[in-house]
Amino acid sequence: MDAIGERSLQWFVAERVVEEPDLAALVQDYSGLLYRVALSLLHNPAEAEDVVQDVFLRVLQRKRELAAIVELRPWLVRIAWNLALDRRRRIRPEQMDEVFAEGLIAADLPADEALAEAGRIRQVLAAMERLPQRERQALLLSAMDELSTVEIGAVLGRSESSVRSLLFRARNHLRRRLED
Amino acid sequence: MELEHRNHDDAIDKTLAALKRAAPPEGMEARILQRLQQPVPAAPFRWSDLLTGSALAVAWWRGALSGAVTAMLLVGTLLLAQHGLRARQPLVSQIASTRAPAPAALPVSASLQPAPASASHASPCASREMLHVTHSVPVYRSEPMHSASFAPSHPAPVLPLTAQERALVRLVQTADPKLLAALSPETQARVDAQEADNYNKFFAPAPAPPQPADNASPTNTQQPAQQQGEQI
Repeated sequence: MDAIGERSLQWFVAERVVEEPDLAALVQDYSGLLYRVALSLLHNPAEAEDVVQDVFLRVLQRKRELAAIVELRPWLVRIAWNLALDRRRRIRPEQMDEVFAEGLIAADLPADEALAEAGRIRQVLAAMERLPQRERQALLLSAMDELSTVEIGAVLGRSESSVRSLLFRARNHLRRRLED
Repeated sequence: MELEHRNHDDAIDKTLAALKRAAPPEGMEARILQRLQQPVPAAPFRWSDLLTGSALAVAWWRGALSGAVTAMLLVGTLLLAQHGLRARQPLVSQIASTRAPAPAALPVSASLQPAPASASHASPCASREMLHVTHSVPVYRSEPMHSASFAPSHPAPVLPLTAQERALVRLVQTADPKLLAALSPETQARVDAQEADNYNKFFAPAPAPPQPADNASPTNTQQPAQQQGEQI
């Protein structure tokens, strides 16, 4: 009886701990990653920030479900990815490519190099937009250092080998399109 | 060509690196935390949340699904067993009908109660008239009877003759026609009448000759005798 009572108390304590996640720590740890994930799809910093905010609002609404989540990072990235995809249907990211490409250039480059670099980035972004959807998504997620191939597969609902194959094909297709 | 390839690869890598380097705008975390401090509307209920919710909900749904699957399997097994019994029943009824011809099954199953004591007899009553039918329930499961009615019919088995029948057969084969006639009262009466007739004819007195005159009568009676003696 004592063992059962002790176990119940442990469970209760664990539930209490999990039920009240430290949202500030979550925002601090994951907001940068989620922002980059959303930005890679939307090409718009303001929209990306809104997506990150929506992600944490969802987390707050479902904070009791956090107890069942084993891999928190892929779960958060998947939420951000889906929210960004929803927003992407409403906006046209290619309209933002010029400003977005200039924003991606390192600030310490000379003006002429920065201009040439911006042109190349814009060209690559345009070619990436023409890639098949799965390949483009796998390539964009692979740009995030924090995500492993397994985690990318978890976000996209694919196996690890499938993600590797997608990445290989995406690179080849992108190279071919840039040659054209 | 290779140089061009390398340039493109460099461009791709630089773009991906630029995406990787993208820093969030300043103050984003503070703005998000400030937004989270405000009251959050409750999440609208969605059916998909039940499947992707907490561990408890997932466990509950797993249990419910496994229970439903188990129940479906049980029902399927029962239906299969029932179907097997139905398929076997006509054969059993056919065998029973060939062994002992039972009275035809009634289309209704009547709940019978024994008649009042005043109408009852000492022996058990088998007739339906002596039983009181309270209500009747139609029989829906008449497939065995239905299939039995379509089964090929067989002639009734030849029953052994009774002692009287055997004696009658022996009599027909061996006895005198007169004895056979005795079996029928009409024939017997006709035969009796014929025999009586014959008897009467044989023993009946000769018809009286016509009466001649008084003197002539003795001579007339003696003359034939004399004629017979002369012929002899």
